[in-house]
Amino acid sequence: MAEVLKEIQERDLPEYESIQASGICSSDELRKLMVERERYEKKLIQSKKSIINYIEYIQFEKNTHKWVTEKENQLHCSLPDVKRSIIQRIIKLYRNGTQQFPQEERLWKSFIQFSKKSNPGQVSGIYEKMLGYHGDKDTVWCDYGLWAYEFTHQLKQVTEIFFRALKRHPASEVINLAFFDILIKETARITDVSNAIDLMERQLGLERAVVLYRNTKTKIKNVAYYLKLLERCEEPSYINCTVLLQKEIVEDLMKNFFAEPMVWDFLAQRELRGYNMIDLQEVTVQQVAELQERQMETDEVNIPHESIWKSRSLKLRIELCFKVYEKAVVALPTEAMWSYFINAMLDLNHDIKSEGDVKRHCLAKAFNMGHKSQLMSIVHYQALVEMLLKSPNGLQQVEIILQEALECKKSEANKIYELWMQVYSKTGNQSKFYEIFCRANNELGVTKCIDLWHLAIKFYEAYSEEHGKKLMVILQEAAKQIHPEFATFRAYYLEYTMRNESLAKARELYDEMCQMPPPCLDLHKKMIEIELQAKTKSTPTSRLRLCYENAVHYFGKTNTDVWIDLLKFERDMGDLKLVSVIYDRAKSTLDPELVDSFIAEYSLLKVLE
Amino acid sequence: MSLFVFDTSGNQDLLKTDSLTAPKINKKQRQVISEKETSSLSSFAAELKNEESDGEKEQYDFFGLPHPSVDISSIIENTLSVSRRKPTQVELEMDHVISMSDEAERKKKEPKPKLKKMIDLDHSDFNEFTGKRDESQIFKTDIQKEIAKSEMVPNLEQLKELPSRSEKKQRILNRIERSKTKGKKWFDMPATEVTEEIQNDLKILQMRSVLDPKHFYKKNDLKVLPKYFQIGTVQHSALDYYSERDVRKNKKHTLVDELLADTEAQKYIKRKNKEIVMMKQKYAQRKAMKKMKKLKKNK
Repeated sequence: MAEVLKEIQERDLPEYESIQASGICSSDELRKLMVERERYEKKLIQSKKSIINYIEYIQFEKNTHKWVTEKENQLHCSLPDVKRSIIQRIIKLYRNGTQQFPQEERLWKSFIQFSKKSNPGQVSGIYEKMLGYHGDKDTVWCDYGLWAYEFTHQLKQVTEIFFRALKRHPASEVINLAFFDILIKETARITDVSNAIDLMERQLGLERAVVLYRNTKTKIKNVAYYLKLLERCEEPSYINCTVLLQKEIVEDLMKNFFAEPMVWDFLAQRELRGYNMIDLQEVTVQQVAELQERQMETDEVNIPHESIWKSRSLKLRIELCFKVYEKAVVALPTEAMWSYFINAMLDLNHDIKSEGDVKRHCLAKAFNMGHKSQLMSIVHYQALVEMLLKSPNGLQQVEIILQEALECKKSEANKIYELWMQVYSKTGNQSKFYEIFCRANNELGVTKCIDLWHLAIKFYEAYSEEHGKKLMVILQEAAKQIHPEFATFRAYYLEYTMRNESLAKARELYDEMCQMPPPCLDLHKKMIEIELQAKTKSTPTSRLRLCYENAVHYFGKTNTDVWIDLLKFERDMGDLKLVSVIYDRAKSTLDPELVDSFIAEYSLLKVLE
Repeated sequence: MSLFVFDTSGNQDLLKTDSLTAPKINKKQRQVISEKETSSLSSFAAELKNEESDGEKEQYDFFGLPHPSVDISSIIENTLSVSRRKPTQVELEMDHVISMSDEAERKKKEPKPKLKKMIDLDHSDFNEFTGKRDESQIFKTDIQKEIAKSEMVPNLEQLKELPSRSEKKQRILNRIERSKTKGKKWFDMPATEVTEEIQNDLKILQMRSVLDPKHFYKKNDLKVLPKYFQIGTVQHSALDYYSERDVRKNKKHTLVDELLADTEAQKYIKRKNKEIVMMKQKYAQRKAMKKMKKLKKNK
């Protein structure tokens, strides 16, 4: 191996000589550079090497290049040979690296990134090699095609790459979309249509795009792809020349995907943008041809907008959009469609500087219809309720709406009740709040209403001065429930008792609640906290130890934290001798997969001591 | 004019058969769609236009919602952030492609920075503060992934001793492991699972010498059915159409089925079978006669 290294170093000698001759650095610095390089080379000639070795070396060389450039600027000299040899070394490293680790996509990408800047002529060759290994990824093909489009001025090369890509991935949305995009772009680029040949070319480009679209129609079944195509055609520079294509796509969408809410949503949004369906349907081949002729005569760059799309006022557009949504929810009475509908109306109401009345009216109408259809989601109900509360005498309406919603949405009744309670908690109406809370519990059963209990406790906590007794009753009731999720209330109950009554009472309560199933970790933690706060020198540690032991007893199998807490306690306040005993106990009690993390934590504890 | 090589002639029937099949429409939906496609929208548009010219000052019913002057943007914001559909992976990729292609177009137009070929290097990604390049972030090793590769004994601390096997048991396990393939020299040919169908096929292969009287095979190297074998599948090419016309259609799933379908072979096998039965009968008769004679003599 040594002789290989020697040879490599000897080959680099001219470079060092020219550095030395130029006098940009001292001999010490030069030796340092040589040593560093030797270190990297050594790693690479070993049989066991990783990609990181290559990356580090490449980065080092790049930094060296930067250093040389800076020196050049400082001393006003030029060292093209040195820089060239550095770059050649980098390229060599990339070549060897990609040969050794062809599966590393990152290295290939880095190589391409590097070559794009310093050696663009080689990029397509690198892509070709990379595709030999990574041809199964459609994004790589796509990158290649787009690079070719950027770099060359000939469309032919680009199209050939895309044809190859499509042969390999005929159903890839990404490749098809990129190809389509480039075809359209090339068409739109030809703006000077005074020449007959250019016009023909433009016509041909459009036809290619159409053929591509028709071809993908047989292969791709993803609606999103077609919507993206249509969106692309709507770009201001392509909107007029692609009219016929748009017509075809819209017709196909209506035929094949009318059951998709996304399609309806998109079409309605198109109306809002001013691209009307009727205008599109009335467009004929002849009209487009006429337009082009006119364009040739007048030599204008852009076709006047009104010739295809009639200009409409915003109000009219909004109402047309609303009309489409109305149709959509009739055709597709699903929750998803309604969600799109109401979201669109909400979007409209973001900006109400112009036509605010119409927009708000549409939103209100949509909410009203949605409520009647019984398919509105809870999120939208919430928005509706919040909005209604902002208007005078909205409360009665909210009550009516929620009552009706409750009847039709049986499966999500608990959420509606929650909404209802939130309304009263906002208005501060305690008696009604409690009434709804009781009603929900009676109708749904306690286990389904955990969120409501949380809400109720939060509410009464805020009003604890006026309704302290009621809070106590609710807490007692919550502590009695045996559903596991109710266990968290016990900790709160304990804290509340401690705050309002005495420590003795809290201890009594704790002893009582420990016994009750299901076990609750928060309860023990809370009691430990209380004991720590109340701790005076006179009280023994036995009470505290009891809490810790309880926690370990119930949760020692699945939780490492309880053990660590106990160990901390014994170390700081309790008996130091017990620590090792507890450690052994923990190791044998914990689940096998938790033991490792426990030991790591324990050793950390010892270090931090 | 660049030559555009779309293979339209080969594609024509593909175009006719859309793979997209339109979903089933019920009566109501059909009505809605046909309504949409006909002039209802256009008439509506005209209607709206008239309305617009008629009464500009119209009173709108807000169904109890607050007047537009009341600000509700925060409610809208909150609701939309929850209920808006999250884009799928493919959609994100497509968005990325579109932005990339726009960028490519932009770069194509603007003049390229003048870097001397093979001499200058772009140092824009160098971070002056950290002294590192942006690339180094991409090549960071994923520690979690590396750790997952290691073969640690999961609950080492709980165990009294390291897990080990006796030599005898290890030998048995090794044997089982070895018997799964034929070995490295045979490129690890696996022991294929033998189903009834495959077993029948293997038997046919072993007895192939009797199937065709005009064909000679060397004798088998194995007297039992093989344990290590693989079954390949012929991948047909489009050119095969001419060379094996009508053959592929008649191909059966297994060798046995094929034999059963072949009348010529059936006939031959039946005849042979009959001959053998006859010969056996004759031999049995002769043996019986011999025995009788012997009995008589000894009497």
